[in-house]
Amino acid sequence: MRYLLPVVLAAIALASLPARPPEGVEPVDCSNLLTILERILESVVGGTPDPELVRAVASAPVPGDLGVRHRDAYGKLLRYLNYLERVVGGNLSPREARELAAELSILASELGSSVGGYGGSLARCSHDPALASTLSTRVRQLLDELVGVQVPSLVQLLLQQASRGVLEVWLDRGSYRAGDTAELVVRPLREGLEVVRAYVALWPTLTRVAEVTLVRRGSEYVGVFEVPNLTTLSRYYSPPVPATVALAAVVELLDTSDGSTYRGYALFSVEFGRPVVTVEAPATLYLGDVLEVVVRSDGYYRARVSLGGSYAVNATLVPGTNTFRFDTSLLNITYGTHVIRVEVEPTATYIGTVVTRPVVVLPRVPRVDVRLPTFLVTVDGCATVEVVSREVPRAGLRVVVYVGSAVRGPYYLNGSLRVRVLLGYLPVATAEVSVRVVADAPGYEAYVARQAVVYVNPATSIAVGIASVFATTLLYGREREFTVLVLSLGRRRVASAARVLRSALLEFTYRVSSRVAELYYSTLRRLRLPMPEPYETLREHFARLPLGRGVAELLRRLMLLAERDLYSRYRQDYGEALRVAEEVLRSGG
Amino acid sequence: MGREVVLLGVVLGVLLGIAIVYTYTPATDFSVLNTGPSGLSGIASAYGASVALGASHLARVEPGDYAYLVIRGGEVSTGEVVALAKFLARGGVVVASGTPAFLNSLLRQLNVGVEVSEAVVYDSIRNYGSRFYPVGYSPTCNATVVTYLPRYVVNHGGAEVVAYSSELSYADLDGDGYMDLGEPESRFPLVLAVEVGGGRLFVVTSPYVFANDLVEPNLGFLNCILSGRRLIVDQYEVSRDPLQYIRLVTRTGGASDYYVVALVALAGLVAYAVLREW
Repeated sequence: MRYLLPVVLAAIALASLPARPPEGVEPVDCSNLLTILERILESVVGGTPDPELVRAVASAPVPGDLGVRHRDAYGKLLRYLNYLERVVGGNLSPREARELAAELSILASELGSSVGGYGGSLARCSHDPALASTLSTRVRQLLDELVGVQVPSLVQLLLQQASRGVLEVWLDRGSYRAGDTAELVVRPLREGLEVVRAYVALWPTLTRVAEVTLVRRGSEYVGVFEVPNLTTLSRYYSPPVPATVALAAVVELLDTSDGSTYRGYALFSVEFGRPVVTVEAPATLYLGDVLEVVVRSDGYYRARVSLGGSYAVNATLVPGTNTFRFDTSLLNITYGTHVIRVEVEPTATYIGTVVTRPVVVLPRVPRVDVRLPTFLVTVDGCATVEVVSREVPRAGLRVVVYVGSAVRGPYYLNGSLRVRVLLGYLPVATAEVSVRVVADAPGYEAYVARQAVVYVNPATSIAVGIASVFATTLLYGREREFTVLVLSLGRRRVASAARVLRSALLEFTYRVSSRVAELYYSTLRRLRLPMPEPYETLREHFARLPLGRGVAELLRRLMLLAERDLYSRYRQDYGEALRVAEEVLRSGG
Repeated sequence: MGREVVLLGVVLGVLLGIAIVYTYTPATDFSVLNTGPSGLSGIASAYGASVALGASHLARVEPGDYAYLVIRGGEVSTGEVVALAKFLARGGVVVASGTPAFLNSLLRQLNVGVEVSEAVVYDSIRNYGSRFYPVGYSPTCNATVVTYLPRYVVNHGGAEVVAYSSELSYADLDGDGYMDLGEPESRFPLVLAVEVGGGRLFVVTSPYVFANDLVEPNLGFLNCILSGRRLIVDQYEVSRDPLQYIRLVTRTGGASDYYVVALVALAGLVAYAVLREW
């Protein structure tokens, strides 16, 4: 008992431990951090850095020395991005541009050692040597590119900004629709500048899309071009093309006095129309029914209407209502959720669009109610399962009941069915009951109802209780012998223990009828004397007891009292028997 | 006298055992009575949730007012799928989470076209203390979602991605706990939604989103997906243990602990009296 509390407390403490990470897995994954470093450097060198992302990476919870290196490396990368933003943002005075160029040069020298060192640390603690080797090589290449090429270029650009005011470039509008005509105007602000070329390019990759011809008009150059349509732009995009595309008109000029070149940009966007198409369909239907899909459109479009992956139809949508019908009994579809998908193809001025609507195809299962108890008090260990049909069945229905691995049935359902199934005989237990109703017709799925039934069996509980009481009474004072019986390997000991148990059984029987006899047996036991065998009388038993004279006389008196109490018509005085027994123990002990 | 002591000891022992087992908070994962890190007592009390011992319970509620949270380990039966599909079709919200075996059996039977694998998604950057707790973002809800060992969705078909991990998270396909060559690094869906009839089925790849450990940082997201509906928590698997069943029925049925303890004590007294007279 005194160990109970610590055991309970220990169990509570163990159960209260928080969820732990998988066994043997370190909290830091250097391979992953190295991959991230490579990816960030790739974006910085590729000109598409995401400062928010870099900031998030810089503040990631990396513990220990590695964490210090991590924060230092990303801190420097963030500084570089900050400088880059200031350069691209423009509006730097010549003096600011010169100062920034100097700071960039200093940072370039620190970037190499900081980021390079961090990359090396990650490679050393990486889990996957192959990945570490590949990535650390790539990190070094990217760093070389950044520190050796890009930073010097940026410095050059800064120096150019210090001498800005060379040309102006603008468009008549900032936003166009596909096919519109745009007017580009270039005004050189210095003598001796000549336009070399002008073109339309994707922004910010500057991939050239179309050339623009400029003609001189006074002090300006003017050009007119058609805004690229979707067909043209789709060559440069992996589909789909976004609804709004950013482009740049780029102009290159040559300074004839010193041969230097200048470049000017005018950014603009192209917006495409989006078809307005809606889909209407019922939310659910049974497998085998006809599905009617109504598609409403605001114009003429080519479209592909499909149901799940099983059936599709190409059609031209007309303004207004378009109706499509799918007979699910003819299609190779299963029950569940299927998506009705209307894919509208793009035109030169409209982007494509996809409209979906889910529809639940319910299995055509037998419509039955299965009544199962969740909690049950049972005497015979059985539960009643009731199955009631909710419709006039179009086919025969078979019912199979599973309790654990035991199977009952099949039964044929005709309106309603009551089945008694055996759950078990344990006093308290749980049994999982599954009822499977199968229709003898094509196109039907089996209806399966499953329920965990907790049952209490009072009869078994009482039986267990009685057995416990019986065992307790039987073994009271015989713990040692019982242990010997259970544990001893020697035949003699087992036989002896069995004899003792037999005696105890005898005693138990006598106890019911005679308290004095019970006292006699108790006295024998306390004197460590052998107990009577089932086949001998008390006198026969007494005759073979090895006793001294004084004890023998007293014990004989007790034996006679017990004999009379057992077999005569009159009960003996228990108080007298108790006194005699005490005297026996005093003289015998 | 000696026999009575033994008898009293047995009765007291049984009573003490029952009292300890009953009153000790169960450590069963995702039980509404479990106040430990992996329990659902937090979400149950935060939303005043009611408890259902199976999907058949849904036939008795008005779907438009309720959201049904079901977290399971084993596969789901056809009867339950039909009950769930009807609940969804009538405008109910079902939030499903649990093992890939459970999610895949449900999604396969609903033919949603979503498949969840055993592979785990880790995130070394946007996390809740370590990479085992990726923090996702839900643009729909404008809220973050803190997860624990979320599973990698192999294919999400036409399902709407309600919340996804950061672009720097990766899927550990070989299950060694680390990133290796060829393992994808990307935004991964953490929570998906499928329109089913008039309702919505949310598939949450980490059941710990609802556990006591993480429910507090996820309250914003949960408020969003539950959208004011009353919550019903499925306890089918928890209730398969008879003791848990009795606990669920008594505790969620309005019986206080004092009442149950008094009942047990009374039963003990009766047992003692009967055994003594035997």
